[in-house]
Amino acid sequence: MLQERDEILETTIKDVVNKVKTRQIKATDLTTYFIERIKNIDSKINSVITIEKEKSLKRAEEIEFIVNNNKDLDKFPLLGVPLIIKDNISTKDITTTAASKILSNYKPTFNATVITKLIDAGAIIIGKANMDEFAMGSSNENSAFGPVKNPWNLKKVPGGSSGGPAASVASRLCIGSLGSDTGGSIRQPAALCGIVGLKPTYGLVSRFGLIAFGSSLDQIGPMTKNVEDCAEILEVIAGYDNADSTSSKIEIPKYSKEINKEIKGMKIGIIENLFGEGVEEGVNTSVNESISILKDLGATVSKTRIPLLEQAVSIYYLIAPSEASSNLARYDGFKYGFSNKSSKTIWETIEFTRGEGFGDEVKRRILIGTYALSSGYYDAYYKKAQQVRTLLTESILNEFKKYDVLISPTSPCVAFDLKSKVDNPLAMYLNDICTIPANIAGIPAISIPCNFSDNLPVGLQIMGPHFSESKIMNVGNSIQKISNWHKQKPKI
Amino acid sequence: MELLSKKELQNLAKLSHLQLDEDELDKLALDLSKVLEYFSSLEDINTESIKMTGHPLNIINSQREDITSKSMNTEEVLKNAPSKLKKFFKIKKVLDK
Repeated sequence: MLQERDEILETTIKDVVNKVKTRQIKATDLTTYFIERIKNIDSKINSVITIEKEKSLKRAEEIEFIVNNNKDLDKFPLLGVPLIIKDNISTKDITTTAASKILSNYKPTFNATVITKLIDAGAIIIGKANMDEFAMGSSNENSAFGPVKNPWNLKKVPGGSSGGPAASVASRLCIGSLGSDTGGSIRQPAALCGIVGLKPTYGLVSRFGLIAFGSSLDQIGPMTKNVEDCAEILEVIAGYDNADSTSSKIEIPKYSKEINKEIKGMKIGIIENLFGEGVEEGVNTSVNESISILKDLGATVSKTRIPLLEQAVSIYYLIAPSEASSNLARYDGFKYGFSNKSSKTIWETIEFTRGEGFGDEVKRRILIGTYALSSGYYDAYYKKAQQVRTLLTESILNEFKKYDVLISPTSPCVAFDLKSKVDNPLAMYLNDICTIPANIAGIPAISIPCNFSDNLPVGLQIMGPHFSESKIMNVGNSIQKISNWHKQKPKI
Repeated sequence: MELLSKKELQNLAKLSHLQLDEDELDKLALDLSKVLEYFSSLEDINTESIKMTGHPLNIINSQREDITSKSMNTEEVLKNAPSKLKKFFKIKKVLDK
């Protein structure tokens, strides 16, 4: 029986749902199985902050009731599917910490829109995943709950900020996960852990209930073993939400049906500025292998240089911290979360609570943002960054007049050693060069596994124009149909 | 590289309502100075008459029907409060003296 269940680890969401529907698997058994896996395996990687046994089993019983009594099971595209959710996405009555001391005891009184949608689709939330505090970081070492380790090599980082979701999916502790991506926080850890991660177009998925970091950049997206599963989850969570006025009123395609087209004749641009200097040889080689596959499949591939791309890191590290310094002003020790008890005045409470409650990286970013927004510096920093953002966005969108999609490595390097970059914030920031441009322009981008370097996974990034999720997933799926990289899993 | 002075940093900390100890101040001065120096590459780009990005897809004034709906009740609002009194958040005194 257990062996039979181990097969579940490698099947697609569609197959899992089918097995639950046809009563080959009971939702309660499936939930218990994954919770046991977390208990047995996660001590090695620390990818989960909260395991939600009681509530998830109760939900699994409800799913069983639905299976036994409901004829219209097609309404539940994620029937019985156990998911782990990044801990900055609000889950009603389940601790949601954003991996910060300041929210260590916070239990939201409402669900994020994406959570409501997942639950309505039949999914079961079995736990909350570790991350960099407030999603600030690229190595998952900035967590008040300790660093996450890469399941492929426990001495390496899993990437960040969605290191917990990436490591938990790679270790098969759940069927899939949701992350959030402000400058690469879904795609880079997906690349470093050998899974699929998609950052949707800005506004495709509601941000209501996502603990805000950089509001003009943040997007929630799926993190899964393969592109098919990614499409299944995106189909559920995408769509306009009147609780998020930045979400877009567009019709949501049936992604799972749109990703099986031929890519013959598709025009693919290789972003030359994201290859070469600073990119590891092993990463270059692996990405080039995928490019060969795309050529074999009949795509037209050529190189292109995007003007101003080298400014992406500066633009991002001014805009994101500016927005963060404003968003994080709400943590004052009065409304929720941790509060300093030794203070005598209201101002002391706020200062002491924030001083104690926030970690180093969060403080750095609040200070950078405050600097960039303060009088005398606003024009030179914040305003300038938003103007150059306009120019870079134009320059990226221009490429889509020539190309259907653009390709680059997801990260210039494979997973690096724990602690090797923590003392050098700027070096850590520069690591985000490949992923930041998509957030700046608000375009969708997906990372899929493409071979290994030094026994560590490499990620291929595919970007498309606004709302081209079907297209970029189709390209990714075409590669996965004839390769096995996404089927490799860490021995843990 | 020009270092952020301790005085400037203390002012930033005050604006941000962050209590920082001496060790933190020294380390932050160096970290932030390096990062700010890196940003200087933006200076060379001509942005005359270029608009600032607001929404990445240029959606402006998104509106919805003005329909009333229930908001969170008082109990829910106060549920996570570290300190409360009856129907209120309880905070420390606002005036020092």
